[in-house]
Amino acid sequence: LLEDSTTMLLTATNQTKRYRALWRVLACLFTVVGFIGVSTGTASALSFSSTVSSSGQSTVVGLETRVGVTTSFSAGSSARLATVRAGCVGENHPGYDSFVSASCVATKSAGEAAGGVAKGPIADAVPRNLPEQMALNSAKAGNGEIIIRNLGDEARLAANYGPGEWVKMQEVVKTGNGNVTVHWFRNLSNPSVNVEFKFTTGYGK
Amino acid sequence: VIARCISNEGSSLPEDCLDPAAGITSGVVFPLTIGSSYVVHAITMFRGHAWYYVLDDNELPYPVWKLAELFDVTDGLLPSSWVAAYVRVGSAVEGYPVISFPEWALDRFFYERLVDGDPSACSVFESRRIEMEQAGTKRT
Repeated sequence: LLEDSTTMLLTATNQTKRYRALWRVLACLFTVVGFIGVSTGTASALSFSSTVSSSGQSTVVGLETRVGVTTSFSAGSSARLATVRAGCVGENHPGYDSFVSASCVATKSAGEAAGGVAKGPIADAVPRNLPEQMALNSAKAGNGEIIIRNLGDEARLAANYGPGEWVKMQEVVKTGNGNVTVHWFRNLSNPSVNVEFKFTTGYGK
Repeated sequence: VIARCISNEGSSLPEDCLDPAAGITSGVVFPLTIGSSYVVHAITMFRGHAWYYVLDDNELPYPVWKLAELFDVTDGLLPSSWVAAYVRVGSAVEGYPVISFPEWALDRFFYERLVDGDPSACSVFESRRIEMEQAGTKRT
């Protein structure tokens, strides 16, 4: 159809061979974009490309193909983008796009964006005072609770420390000067592996 | 949704709730006050149990999940803005449901960003928290 349309248009306007070649290039481009949608095998398909900034955040830029209509978008262009950030379930809930706040930033971790491991292991935080030392000791003694499963950072953790079910742990120790909160990662497949202890700042009273 | 704490001890939980690797043992005391009411900011299911995300007595800026067995629901009305989602990780068939405001329910990493102090996620949660608390106050 594109070919026919192209030919008709060119005939009607009596263009030169040079313009005919230009139209053929444009037709090929449309074909490629259509192929992106078809290749995903769904009526509502998304494809992405990502760039990673030095801050560890990535900007998602890509194409959305929905029932044959392809729309390009860039970071911050719409609330729709927030929905389709990698890992969002928005793809499964197209009817809920309008609910997503535009303030939901379309970012993901550097590791995700690179499709691999962008960062190496992170050393444990060093306690700066006695309450932090107490909290760290308590965490390393096996206390604490799981606060997050299915981490976005799981690929990085698996690459750096070994495969398994990685979770984020939390231990809160109450002191006379307020709470000290420690976060770290635990491999549930081998609970003795606990890494990257850090103190959260500005949390707790 | 508002829930009143009826127990804060691991010893009161059913046996199948206990999971030492997850920090849930019979000896644990959860940072909850018996008799106090907590606004539920999200609901999920895990290993056959319901979990409520509440701002517990640790006074952190983000809610933490607690087993529903520790509470009685005193106001079960769901906010009109809430949505239900089912989160699957990768190609896994089995996932978990999340019922909450859309920014959380529809974004698998919203809560992780909130815990990590991401300003955007914190801002969204703060406005939703106020909205929830005001809605609860109007009904009581």
